[in-house]
Amino acid sequence: MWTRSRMRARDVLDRMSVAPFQGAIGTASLIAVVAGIFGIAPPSMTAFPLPIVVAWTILLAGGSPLMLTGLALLAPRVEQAGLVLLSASYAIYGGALLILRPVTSVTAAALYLLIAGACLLRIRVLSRALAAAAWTENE
Amino acid sequence: MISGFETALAGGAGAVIVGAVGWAGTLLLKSVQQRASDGTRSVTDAASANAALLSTVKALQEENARLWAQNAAQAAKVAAMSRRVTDAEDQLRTALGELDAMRRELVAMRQQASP
Repeated sequence: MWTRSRMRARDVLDRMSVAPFQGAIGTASLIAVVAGIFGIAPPSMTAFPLPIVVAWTILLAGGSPLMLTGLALLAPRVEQAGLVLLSASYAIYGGALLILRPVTSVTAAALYLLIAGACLLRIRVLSRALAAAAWTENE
Repeated sequence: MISGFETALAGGAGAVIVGAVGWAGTLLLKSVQQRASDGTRSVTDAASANAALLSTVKALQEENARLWAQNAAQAAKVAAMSRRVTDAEDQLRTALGELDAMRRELVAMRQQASP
């Protein structure tokens, strides 16, 4: 049983190693959600209207576990669903920073918007991989 | 009081949320459907394999019955031939006995005829 658990943990680590930056972003997002539940929000959030904060939290809370689960269990569509929510979350956060604090938060806004773009690119890569797999199966 | 700008921001964020949740829901539904169809396909494959195995077993049983019947027919032939051989042996023994009796009679007749 110990061997089986160790092998499963190694399998998960191997899968996370295929997309390490994605795994890092997902884990950081999960930490942000947990911190948010305990009332610890990023400092820039204080300038945001409440609906933005709520939207960001909900999307992050839904997206990061879905994305990490899909990555760990090799479930591409679940990973894609998580990436969609994460992308929306970071797009809202980056967009709000750009609109409300265009000068002081330009770097942070660029980072979050680029993360949102990277999530969309990853969704595209997974869609093409799924289409290729379906085509191979039908051959 | 919420400004118009914040309302617009909230509206934009709301639209993004609705779109993202709808898209994510579609993807999750497709994942569930894929898993269901994979499960159905594996059940169908197992059922087909089972049906093929049953068909093979039935064919083997029929072949077995045919071979048993063939074996029984051969055994009947062997028994019939064995009976014929026994009958022939009995006839031969009877004929040999008669021949022996005739020879003894001939010897007795020769002895009577000689002075």
